[in-house]
Amino acid sequence: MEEDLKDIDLIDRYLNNELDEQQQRVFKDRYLNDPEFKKEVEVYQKIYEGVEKATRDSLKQRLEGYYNEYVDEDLSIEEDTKVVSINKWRRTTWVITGIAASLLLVAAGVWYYTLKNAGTNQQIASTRPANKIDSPNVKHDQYAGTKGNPSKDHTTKTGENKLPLPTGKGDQYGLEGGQKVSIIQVLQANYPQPLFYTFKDSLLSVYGDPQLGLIRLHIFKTGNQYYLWYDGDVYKLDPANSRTTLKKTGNSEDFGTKSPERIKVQVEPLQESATASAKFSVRAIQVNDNSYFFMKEKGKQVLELRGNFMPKKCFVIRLKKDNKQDLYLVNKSSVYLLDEKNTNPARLKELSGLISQEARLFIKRDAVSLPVYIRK
Amino acid sequence: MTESQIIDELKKGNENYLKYLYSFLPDVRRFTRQNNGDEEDAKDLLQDAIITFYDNLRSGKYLQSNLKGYLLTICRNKWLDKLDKLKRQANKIKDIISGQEEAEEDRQFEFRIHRTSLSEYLQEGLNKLGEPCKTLIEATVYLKLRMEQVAQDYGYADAHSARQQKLRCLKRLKGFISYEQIINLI
Repeated sequence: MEEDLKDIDLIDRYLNNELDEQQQRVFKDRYLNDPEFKKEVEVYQKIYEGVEKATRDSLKQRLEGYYNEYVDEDLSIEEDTKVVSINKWRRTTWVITGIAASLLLVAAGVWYYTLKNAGTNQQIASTRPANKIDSPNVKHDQYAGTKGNPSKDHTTKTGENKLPLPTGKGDQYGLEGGQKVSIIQVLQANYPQPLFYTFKDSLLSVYGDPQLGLIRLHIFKTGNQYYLWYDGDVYKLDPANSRTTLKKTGNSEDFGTKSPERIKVQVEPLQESATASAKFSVRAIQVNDNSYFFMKEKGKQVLELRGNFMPKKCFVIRLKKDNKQDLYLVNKSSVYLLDEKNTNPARLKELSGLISQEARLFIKRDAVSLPVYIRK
Repeated sequence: MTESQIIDELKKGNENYLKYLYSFLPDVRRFTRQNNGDEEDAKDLLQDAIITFYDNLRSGKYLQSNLKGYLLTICRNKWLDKLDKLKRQANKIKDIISGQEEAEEDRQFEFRIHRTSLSEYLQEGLNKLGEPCKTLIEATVYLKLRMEQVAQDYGYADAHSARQQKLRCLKRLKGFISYEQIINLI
C-alpha cells in the first residue's frame, strides 16, 4: 500500500465493516486521540453517505426522463413466451383430427391464409418491393428468387437476393394420412454482416445487426438531410424504399439538440437480411409432438419437423458466425438449435434468449420512436 | 419488447430500457387507488422499485425470473410501509394540534429549506472528479461491488490494483470537499 493511501485504506475498511477486533481497537484508539484523524473519518463518513444519496438522486433524475419517454412512446411489455396460443392451437387440432369435417376446415384455412397473405404481401410490397419467392412448389426450388424476380434489389452491394419473411407462399396444404404437411423455408446468414437500411415515411429500418443498441443510436438532421449517429460514427440517410448500404460519412461526438420531430426505428432481426439456402428442404408435419430428424430422400437431405410449425411464422436458418455454422429453427418467438447428425427423432429444445446470444439474433424487436436532433 | 430483452439490454448498459418498466404503472395504480393513493404515489412507488431492481441487477443480486411480479411486490411492500408512516404521522399531527411540538417542527423546516443538500454537494464533487473515478466510486461505494468484480468489469489487472485506484479516486474527491461545509449537510 502506498504511504499516502494508508489512512484512506484504513477508513474505507472501517466504513465497510472489514476490520477485525484487533484492528478495530487500534482504530478506535487513534480516533479518540488524533483530532486530525477524527476529522478525516468524519469527512469520509459524510462522503460515503453523500455518494449514495447523489448516485440515487441522479438515477432518479434520469428515471424522470425515461418516464417522459414512456409517456411519449406508449411502450408496452409483452410476455416472454407465447405458449398459450400454441396450446390453444394444439387443443383445436386434436378435436378436429380424424373428423371428416377437417377437410372442410383445411379448405377454409387455405382460403383464409390466401386472403391474409394477399394483405401481408401488399404490405411487404409497399415497404420492400424487391424479393419474393415466386415458385413455392413442393420441391421448394431455392433458386426461385434469382430466376424469376422482377424487381431485383439493385442497391444491395452484395447483389444477393434477400427473401422477405413471412412469405406464407411456401405453404403446401396437403393431406398425408390425415396430416397436414407444410414446407418450411430454409435461409442462411452470416453474422456480422454489412448494414443496410430502408427509410420511408418516418420509418427507418436497419438490417444486418439485430444487436444494435438503440441508446447509442440517434437520428439528426442538418437542413433537410437526415443522418444516423451510432457510437460516434455518422452515416448519411437518404430516403430509400429498397435496401441501401449504410455508408459512413464521418464521425463526431455531437449530434445536436433535440427537436419535436420523431422517427420510428426498427432494428430488423437477422432473418430479414438472410438469403435462401438450397442445401436441403424442410417438411413440417402437424402432429401433437415436438421433434425433428434428418433423412435422405432421393439423394437429397430432408429435415422433418413434427409439431405445430406453420410456414408463415416459422423458418430454418443456417447461421455462420465466428467460423462456425449452426442450424436454428425459429418459430414465432421461440428459437431451437438443430443438430444435423440427428437421423433419429430428437426432442426440440428451446434456447433462452437470456443466455444464447445467437437466439437473440432472430427475435423481432419492437420499433422504437426516437427524437430527431438538429445539428447546424 | 419482452422482459428478458429488457434485462439483456440493461445488462449491456442500455440504461434507457428502464423506460419500458413504466408500462407496469397501471398495475401499481390499481392497488394505490384502492388505498386512497393518487397518480403521483403510483409513479413514485414504481420509481423506487425500479431503482431497487436496477441496483440489484447491477450488483448481481437480481436472480428472479418474473420481473413484473418482483417490481409489484416491492411496490406493495413500500406502499404498506408508507401507509403505516402516514398513520403515525396522522397521530403526530393530532399531537401538534394539541400544541406540543409546533414550534420545534417549524424551526427545523426553516433550517432545511435554504441549504444545499449533501446529495447536491456530492453530485458536484463527483462531476468535478470525472471518469473513470466517478464510475469506480459509484460501483464500489454505492453498488458495493466486490473488488474482484470491479477489476473484471472495468478492466483492472486485479482486485488489488482496482482497490488502489478506488482509494486514489476517493482521495481526489476529498480534495474538493471542505470539512466545515460537508459536516453540517444533510
